[in-house]
Amino acid sequence: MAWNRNRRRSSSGSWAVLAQNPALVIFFVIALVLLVVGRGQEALFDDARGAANDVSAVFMEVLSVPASEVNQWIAGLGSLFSTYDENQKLRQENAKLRAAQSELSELQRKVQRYEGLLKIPTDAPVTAVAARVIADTAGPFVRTVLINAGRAQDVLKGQAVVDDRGLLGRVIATGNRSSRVLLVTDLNSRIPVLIEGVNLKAILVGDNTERPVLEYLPSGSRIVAGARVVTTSDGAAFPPGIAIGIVAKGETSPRVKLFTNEGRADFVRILKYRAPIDVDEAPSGTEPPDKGDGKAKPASAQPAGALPTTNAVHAQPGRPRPL
Amino acid sequence: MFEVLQIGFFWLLQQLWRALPLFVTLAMMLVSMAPMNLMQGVVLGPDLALIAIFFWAIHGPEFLPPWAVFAVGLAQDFATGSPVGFCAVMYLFAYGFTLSQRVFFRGRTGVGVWLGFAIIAVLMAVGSWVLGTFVYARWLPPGELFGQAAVSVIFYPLLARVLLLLRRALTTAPETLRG
Repeated sequence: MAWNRNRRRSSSGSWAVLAQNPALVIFFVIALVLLVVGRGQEALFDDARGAANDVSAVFMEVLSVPASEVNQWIAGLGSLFSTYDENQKLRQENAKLRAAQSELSELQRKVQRYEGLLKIPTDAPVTAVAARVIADTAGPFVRTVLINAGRAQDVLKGQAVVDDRGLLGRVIATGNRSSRVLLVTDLNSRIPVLIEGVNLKAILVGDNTERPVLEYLPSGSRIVAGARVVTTSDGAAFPPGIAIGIVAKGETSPRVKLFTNEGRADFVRILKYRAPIDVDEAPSGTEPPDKGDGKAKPASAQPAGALPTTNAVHAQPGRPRPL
Repeated sequence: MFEVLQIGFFWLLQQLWRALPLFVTLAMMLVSMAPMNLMQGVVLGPDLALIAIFFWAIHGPEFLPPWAVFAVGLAQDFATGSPVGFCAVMYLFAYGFTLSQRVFFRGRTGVGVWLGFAIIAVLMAVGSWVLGTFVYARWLPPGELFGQAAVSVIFYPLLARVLLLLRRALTTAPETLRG
């Protein structure tokens, strides 16, 4: 009986709070409406997100300086105990890299010679903008970082972001002086990739774990753990050949062990890449009828941005160079 | 004329003083976003905004009214890139639930309140997971949410002490500032 009385009092207390705080109910409903509307129309808040990024970037620029110091201090403390082992490992790695370097320069010479013989158009260089990670907003459902470069530095939505080890993610929102980068581990991240060695294409799907999943692999395909995974130019989103990680075993699907350590990304590069677009000339007889007096228009009368009518025109001077 | 300006100045000062808990909560939210790799990526950092919201819901909801909690949640959504309204819904839920249990929490010692925060943190983790599953329409790994809740519980006593100093300053401030 006493328990029932207490329970009644407690539940009436909860309802009393809501009755006494209509503002709480109103704002809760507004938040729910925003959540539903925002999920349906994500582009609706794009400008607001860009502006919010710029505002928070001002504070985060200041906060990131001591944070970076603390990180360095912690990293220094950790390496203090492993200096000897690390030194030995680096010596071995250095010896291996020297051997690989001479092999690489020999291969480069060969490739250049073959390209010259086959008259392959030279690759257009991919330019980049350097930026610093000023906020790490890794939450339970969101894996993004804020960088201090935005539209003022010609950073555009969709551009790939790399650190010194490989692909980190892509730009999803740009402010004037800041941008938000969706990391490859985020739930919403989907990246077309190529598995080297077997030349299989797949989609790298983030699931908020350290190792994203490889999906949409051709049925019956066999891949070896340890194979390198790189970006492809499919979808014209990323320059081809950016290192992402190596194939690792997963419970149901193969996963990718990333080269980058998202938590330690400090300085990054945003790659300005525009995929080449091939435009073929329309077959003869399919030209639109000439309206007006029937006279052919001079080339100068074409609208701005119109493509010249030659066979297989490249919008860019050549293919982008793999990184 | 001078008197009007003086009254206006003190009114503004009073409003800023009363909004101090909101500014502190926003500052705590920004600090939690700093790229500090203290946990080495093993678990997420503490939810500092939740700590502040729980604290003010118990020790002075008049200093952090529902609109302020909504503003903090929305600011966090925009600042972290979460779906707009997600954090606002979760923080208002935590605030409302804490308010409903305020009578129970107020008479408790520090450990009792700490335990109360632990319950709220776990409820938030469960609530976020359920809401997140609906919003993203897929299975989400719940481990990180509970990891973050545990880290938040560990950090609570330390931050509550700092917030308590502010709470006392707000009560002991001159009459003109208290309003």
